[in-house]
Amino acid sequence: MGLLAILGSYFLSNALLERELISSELSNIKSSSAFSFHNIANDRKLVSIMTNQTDRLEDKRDTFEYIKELSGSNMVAVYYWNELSNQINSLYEKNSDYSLSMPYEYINQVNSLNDTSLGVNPIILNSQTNYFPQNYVLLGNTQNIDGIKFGIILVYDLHREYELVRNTSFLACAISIEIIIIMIISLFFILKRTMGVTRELFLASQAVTEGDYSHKIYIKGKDEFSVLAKTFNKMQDVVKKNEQAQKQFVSDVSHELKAPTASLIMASEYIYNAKQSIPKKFHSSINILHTKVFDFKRLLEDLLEISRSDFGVVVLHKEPVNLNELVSKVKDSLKEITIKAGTTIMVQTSNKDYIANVDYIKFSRIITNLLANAIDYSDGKPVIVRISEDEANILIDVVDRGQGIDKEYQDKVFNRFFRLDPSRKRTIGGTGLGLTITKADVEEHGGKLTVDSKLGHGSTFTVSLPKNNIVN
Amino acid sequence: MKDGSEKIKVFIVDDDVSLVDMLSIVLTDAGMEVAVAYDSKTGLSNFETIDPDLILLDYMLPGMTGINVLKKIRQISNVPIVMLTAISDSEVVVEALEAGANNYLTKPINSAELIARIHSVINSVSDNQASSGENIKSDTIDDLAKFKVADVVVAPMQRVAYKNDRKIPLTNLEFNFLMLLIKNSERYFSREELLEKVWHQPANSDPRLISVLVGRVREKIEDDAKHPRIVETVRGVGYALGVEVEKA
Repeated sequence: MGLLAILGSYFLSNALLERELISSELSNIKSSSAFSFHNIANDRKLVSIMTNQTDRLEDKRDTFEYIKELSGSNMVAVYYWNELSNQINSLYEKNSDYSLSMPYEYINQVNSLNDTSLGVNPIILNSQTNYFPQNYVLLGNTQNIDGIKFGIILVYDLHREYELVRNTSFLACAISIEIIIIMIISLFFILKRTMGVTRELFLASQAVTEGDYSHKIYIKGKDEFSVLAKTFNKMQDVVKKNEQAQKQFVSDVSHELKAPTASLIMASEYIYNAKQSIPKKFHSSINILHTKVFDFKRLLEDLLEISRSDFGVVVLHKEPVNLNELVSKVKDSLKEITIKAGTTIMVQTSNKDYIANVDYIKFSRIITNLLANAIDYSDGKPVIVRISEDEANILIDVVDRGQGIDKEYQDKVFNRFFRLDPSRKRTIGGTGLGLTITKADVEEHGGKLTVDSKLGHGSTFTVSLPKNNIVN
Repeated sequence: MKDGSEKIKVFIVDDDVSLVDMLSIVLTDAGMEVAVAYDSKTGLSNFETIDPDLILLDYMLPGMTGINVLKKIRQISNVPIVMLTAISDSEVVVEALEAGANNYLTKPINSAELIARIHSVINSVSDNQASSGENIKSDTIDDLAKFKVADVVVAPMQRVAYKNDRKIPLTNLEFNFLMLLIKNSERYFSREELLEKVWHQPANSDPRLISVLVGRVREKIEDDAKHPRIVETVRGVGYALGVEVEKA
């Protein structure tokens, strides 16, 4: 690109200058040579020199100087001959190397000039051909002097003009190189700054998407970038504030709801237990009241749990726990709902006991939620719990062979209140917050909860717990 | 329950009027007698005239927190006190139990469980009173003896413990927990068991109560709380004494 620009600027300036400068010079030369030819023909002394073919050096020199005066300073040589002798004489500056022999081509050209044009229109002889060095312009004409036809060729040297063109082109070229270098350097700095800012912005916005609002951007200066940085930081604060406010609201509402819920539960239970002494027509209302109050209580408990993890106030009470034993304990505690769902839980472990530092309650809840979820979606097919390990993690897979989850929903199953199949009957949970809480529980242990599923083939939820939790 | 024939008299101190109404209905139905106060000041001033068998105490009360009411009552009476609050932070639970609450229940609670807890608290307290007035009673070991576990000397009668001749400030619960392990040094205790025996809490209560307490005991008696020798964790099952008990 840069090279192209440089070459372009060279050729463009060259072409432009050549056209302007050289062609204007040519027209100058043409008119001054016309003047010169005219005068040569009318100067007696000159004519006598030319006809007598003097050999005297001073005369020749004087003649040359005289013609040069008439023709312009860049006229460097004069060739002349008469049709009688046909001997080519030349006049040129002393000590110069213009003593080149004149190609016959040009002489013939001049000789062939029509008589009518004599002395009026000098022609440029070498506009088409290059029998003479390129920087010279040859102007030829014939003059009728005392009845004898003379051929005269004036040689003009356009070295300086061509040099000027070349130098100017080089200058243009150099300027364009300089401009390109300056552009590259400044582009480098601009890009460096832009890339730096972009990278900062990228990192910060990535942090924001992950809920981290502490990634502030610091950009010095007073340009648009620093304004952008300030605006971005402000935006982070606003988002953070709004999110805090939203979380705080959920937390406040949940806590406020606790007190009335306590009375509600007691009242509904009281009525429910006294159902026998209440007329039958109220029974379905009483049942609905009782069930829904209970659902409401569960939802509230889950909301409070989420609130706690939102605020990062969850404290883990870690202790060495045998995960194999924990899994079988949870399996036993779910016996009833397992039977109700017409399925079984199979635990697959190697002979190795995995003992890890975890919060016993939280970890039991993780396994309980995943198992209950698997049972609900098992469609009566066995549920498998597998404890294994890879290089970095202890892996607990909970596998069901139910309907599976469509690819597009797999990420969403951990979202709050996301329900894959709202009509499905749920045993434990059913608040739409179970997997959200489970994921938070796993993450608080430094682990990851992922799902892998194929529609029609069931789902596998995997808890990966980093091995630094293992107790040796 | 001064004797078997009389009704249990429960004193409810809670500012939630509708809950108090429901509690009154449910407890009366369960054959108990109910008195109520809607703020801590009335609760404290009426406590002695009412002379209840059990107090059901809220935490967030106008005027003074439930914990402070609890502490004031404990200065003058050993009446069984059950906390019934919406707060479930384990720190608060431990604080209440250490201040002398006999049980800690969180709202919302169902009536059947509440009634069961009330009975169980009253029974365990009267059992204790029947044996000797001490909270923890030994069945097999001489009460006058002192014990030595590692470099910790424990005197059950004085309810104090020493480490390198320096008195260790153990709370009631901490002391009870330590004595339970000493007196049963041959076995371990599961979380569920500890909850019932030390805390008089239902077995399905938050086991973090135990973690909090065990942590505190270890800080006080172990050389290095991170590598405990005396109060040992039995992986996956519970806790046991990790050293031999000597007479001192």
